[in-house]
Amino acid sequence: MKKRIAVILLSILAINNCLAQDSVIKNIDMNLVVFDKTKYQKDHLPISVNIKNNNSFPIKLLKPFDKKGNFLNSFWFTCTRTDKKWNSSSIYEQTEELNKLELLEYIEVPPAQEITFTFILNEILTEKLVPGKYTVIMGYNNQLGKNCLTGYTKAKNEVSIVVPEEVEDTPLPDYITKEKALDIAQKTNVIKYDQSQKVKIFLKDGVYTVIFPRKKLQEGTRAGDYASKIEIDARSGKVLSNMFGV
Amino acid sequence: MAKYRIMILSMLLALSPVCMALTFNDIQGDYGNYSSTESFTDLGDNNITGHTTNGWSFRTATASGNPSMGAVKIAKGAGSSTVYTTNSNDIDLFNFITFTLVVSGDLTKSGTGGTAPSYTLTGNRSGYFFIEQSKNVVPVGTSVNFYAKESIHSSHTNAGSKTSNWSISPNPYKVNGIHYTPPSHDGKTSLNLGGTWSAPDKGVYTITAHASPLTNPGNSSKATAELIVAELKITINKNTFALKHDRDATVTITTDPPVAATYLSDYEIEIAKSGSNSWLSLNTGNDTYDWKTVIAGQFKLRAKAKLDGTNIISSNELTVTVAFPNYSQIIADATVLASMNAEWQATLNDCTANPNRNRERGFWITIDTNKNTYNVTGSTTGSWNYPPDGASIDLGNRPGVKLSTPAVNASGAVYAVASFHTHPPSTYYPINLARYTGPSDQDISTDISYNVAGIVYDYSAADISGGHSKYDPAKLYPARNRRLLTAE
Repeated sequence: MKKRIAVILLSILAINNCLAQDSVIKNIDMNLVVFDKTKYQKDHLPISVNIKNNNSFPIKLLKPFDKKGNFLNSFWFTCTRTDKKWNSSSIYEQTEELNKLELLEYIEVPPAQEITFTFILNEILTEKLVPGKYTVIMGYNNQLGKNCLTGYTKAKNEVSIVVPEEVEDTPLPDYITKEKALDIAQKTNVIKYDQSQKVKIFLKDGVYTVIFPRKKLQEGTRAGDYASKIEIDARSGKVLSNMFGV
Repeated sequence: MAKYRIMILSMLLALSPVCMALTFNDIQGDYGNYSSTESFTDLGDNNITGHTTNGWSFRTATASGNPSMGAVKIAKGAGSSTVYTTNSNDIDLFNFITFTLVVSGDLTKSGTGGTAPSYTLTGNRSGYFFIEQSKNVVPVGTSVNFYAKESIHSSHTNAGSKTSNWSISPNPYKVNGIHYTPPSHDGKTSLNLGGTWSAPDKGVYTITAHASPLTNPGNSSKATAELIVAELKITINKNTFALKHDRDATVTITTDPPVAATYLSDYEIEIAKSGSNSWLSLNTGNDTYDWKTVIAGQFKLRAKAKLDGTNIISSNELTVTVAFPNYSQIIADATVLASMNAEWQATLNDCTANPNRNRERGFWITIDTNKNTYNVTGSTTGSWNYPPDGASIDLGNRPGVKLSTPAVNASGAVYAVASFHTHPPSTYYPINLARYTGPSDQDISTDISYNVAGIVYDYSAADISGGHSKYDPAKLYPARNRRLLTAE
């Protein structure tokens, strides 16, 4: 997983001279903010956390990434697909290296001021998100750092994001037709598949991918995602790969 | 009608000022000068009354008291067989806790002349002024009553209320972190801290009552009481734990101010599920508890203790997360790893050219948090699979308990933490057929639906084609990192 820092500080207003206090979370508002849906791609799932300090004193927050770019998971996220069949949570681990105080960074939020962090979800989740609509919840749970806000709280809201299906390319004039690609795939396939289901064909980057569905299995069975998946060069009609699923 | 008359009379008597006095009888000068000293025995006693024996009478009478008492009047005396003082016009007299009242003068006897013998009637009052308080130590935000009282008995029996002027130290004090100056509270017999004055933040406070009006600034007219406003605090060395691998917690109960601890007993640490108010006891009798986290979930902790053996004081609440072990922790366990390696070896053995078949193998991985050990269920095999079809496996129902089943303070539970299965070799598949290695989306989805971590044993290469060696390098893949606390 990439450890790229994806923190954007959208707004930090004037810092006053008061010292931040080592205090448990109190009078802090955390809200999740989603972007316009056009910003979401399968491998780019941004989400922002807006934090408002309602205290009369400044607070010090641990930045979500350390100086090496490691995600600390003081901010944690859980994404659950609305059909409950897929979910993923952010990295939880607090390795020994992540506990090194010299690698931690802090940011101070003055009284009545706000700060916004933006995360790229797909870079901090332990499992990828397959296409679908997800509910995202977020919490802050910190024990690391010195004189910074410690304790546990959850964002006041939960939000929905949609992980879009991949968009198919438009065939170019010199490409073979879908029907031709399907015919080639049918002739290539040697694996029994579920003929009651539709054979899927998808064009991307000059390659047709033809997926033959596997027979339906009992709930809870671990198996391949398809009976076979055949990739065909869209120009030449050559079979590039013939995969079966386990 | 007669009944009502009695009631009205009784009420009038009750409302009337009761004039009580220290009485000296049989005062005479037959044996020379007369002197007698008595102690006041009743809070109502503020005056002296003297009665001579037959034939004698008071020729002169003078009353005196402590210098600060001012004039004490003789209401009756000269030429009478009775002498008595009055304080009806000298209300200050009533405000002394301790005082001496002396009536003196000359005596005379009817028909005789000569030197008049003197008399001295001395009444002493040695009183106690004190504050009676409802509680000595209270939790923050609690109301406490203070009563100013006087008694002439050291045992504080027969005590009566005393109007006083009230003060507090420190002044101003803090209420919810903000300085607060209490308003004047003079001439009252009681004070309600938390009502009359706002309840102070944690700390040690001195409440003082000066008998009012303040004509005698001596010690006997000032009483103090100490109040400790205490906060019970619970702390933990950290807030996030993982079963088996990171389960040791140290929970500590302290008081602020620390002196309040001397009034506390019966410490108790309670635990509840996050979002629930069903508290269960986790530990009793200790202010430090080495807690082994053996139940997974998100919890709240709080401490309780008894103040002065009776009243309960509660602490702040802590939030604690006890997570399931993750993929890396599970596969590092020697027992689990040996079982997985054995299943992989059996999977290789199952894969044969004649008959050309293979099958997947697997098991559930459980953790017994009471014994702090991993276990694996018996090996499960998928149906025999005949190339070129792909293999599959159903591990059956997840063993162990649901997240919500064990009591939050249970001594342990058996949880399923992961699934494990193998992907068989493709050695005897057609060479133009291949497959990707590692978990499929269906594998991951199944682990999500069972809410367990997922582990797959498969070849190390990104994909393998028919004809490869069964003994090509293989490794473990994570299908899912851990069982989550957001589902059962």
